[in-house]
Amino acid sequence: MGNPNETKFDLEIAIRQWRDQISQLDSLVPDAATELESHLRDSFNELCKLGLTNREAFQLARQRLGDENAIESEFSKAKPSVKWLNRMKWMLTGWLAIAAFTHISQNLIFFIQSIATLVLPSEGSNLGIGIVSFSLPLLTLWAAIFVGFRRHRNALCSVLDSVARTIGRSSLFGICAGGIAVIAVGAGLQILSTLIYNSNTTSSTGGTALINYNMVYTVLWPLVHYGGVIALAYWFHSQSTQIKPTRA
Amino acid sequence: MIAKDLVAASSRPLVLSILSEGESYGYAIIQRVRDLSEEEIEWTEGMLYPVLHRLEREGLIEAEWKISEAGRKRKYYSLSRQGTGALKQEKQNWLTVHNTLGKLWGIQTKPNSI
Repeated sequence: MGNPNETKFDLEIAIRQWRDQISQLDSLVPDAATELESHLRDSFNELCKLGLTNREAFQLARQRLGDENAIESEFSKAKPSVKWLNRMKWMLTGWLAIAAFTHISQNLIFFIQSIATLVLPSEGSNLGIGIVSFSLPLLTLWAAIFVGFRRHRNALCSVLDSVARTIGRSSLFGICAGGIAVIAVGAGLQILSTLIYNSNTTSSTGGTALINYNMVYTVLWPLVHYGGVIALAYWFHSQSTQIKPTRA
Repeated sequence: MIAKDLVAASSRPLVLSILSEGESYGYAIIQRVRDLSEEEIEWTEGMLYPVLHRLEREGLIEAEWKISEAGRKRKYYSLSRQGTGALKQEKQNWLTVHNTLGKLWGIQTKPNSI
C-alpha cells in the first residue's frame, strides 16, 4: 500500500478500508455499517456530479459523515447496550480461545511430564520435574507460535485480516484482554487453593517438595501464560496500527 | 449556523415530519433538511442514524431494506401509526416554544394549534 496521493484512486478500496475502520467500533451493529456505507456512496455520487474528483468527493463525503470517534459516540449514546454486547462477544471468544490453548498445552504438559517421570529420578526432584514439565513445553509452544508468525507473516496477516473483518479488529485485541482476565482469575484461585492446601500439609511428609512443586505450578505457569498472551496482544496491536490506512 | 444542541434536539421532529411526507432514507432526509433550512441546519451526517434507530426502537418509524435504483441495498424508513401520534405531540411542543418566544419578541404568530 503506497501513498494514496500518488496512486490512482480506487473507490472500492477506499470504501473497504473505511468500512474496516468503522467495523471496529464496538457500538456498531453490522447493519448500521451497511447503512452508513450506502450513505457514503450516495454522498460520493452527489459530490461527483458537482464536479469534484473521485478522491475529493470521497474525502468530503467521509468528512461529512463524521470521523470514527463521532460515529462511535453517537451510536453508543443511542444504544449503550450494543457496545457491551459486542464486548461480551469478544470476551467469550477470548475465553474460548484461551480454554482451547490451555487444553492443548496441558495435554502436552502431561505427556512430557509422564516422560520426565520415566527419565528423571522421581524422589526429591519435584522442582526439576516441575520446571521441565511445566515451563519448557509452554515456552516451546509460544516460541513455535512466534516463529510461525515471523515466517508466515503475510499469509497469517491475511487470515487475521479476514477474521478481523468478521469480528472487528479491536476485538482481536479484546480477545487477548479477555484471555488475560480469565488467566488472572484462574491464577488467583490456584494460588489461593495452594495456600490452603499447604497450610494443611506442610507439617506432614514431603511438605517442602510439595511447596516447591506448587510454587512452580502457581508462579511459573501463569507467568509464562501471561507473558505469551501479553506479547500476542502487543503483536496484534502493532499489526492493527500498521494495517490502518493513512489519513489524508 | 445553528448551535449543535439545538440541531440535536430538533432532529426528532424534523425526521418525523419528513417521514410524514412519505418513506425516505438517511441521505435523502439530510438533503431535505439542508435544502429546507437553506443550509442553516448542518448535521454531522453520521448523527442521523442513531436517531433513526432510536425512533425505530420506540416504534415511531418502521424500517425496511430495499434495493435502490443503482441496485444497492438501502434502508428505507416510514412513519408508523404510533409515529403519527408522536409527531402531533412534537408539533404541539415546538409550536408552544415558538409562540412563547414570538410573544416575547413581539412577532405575530399563528394561534397555538396545528
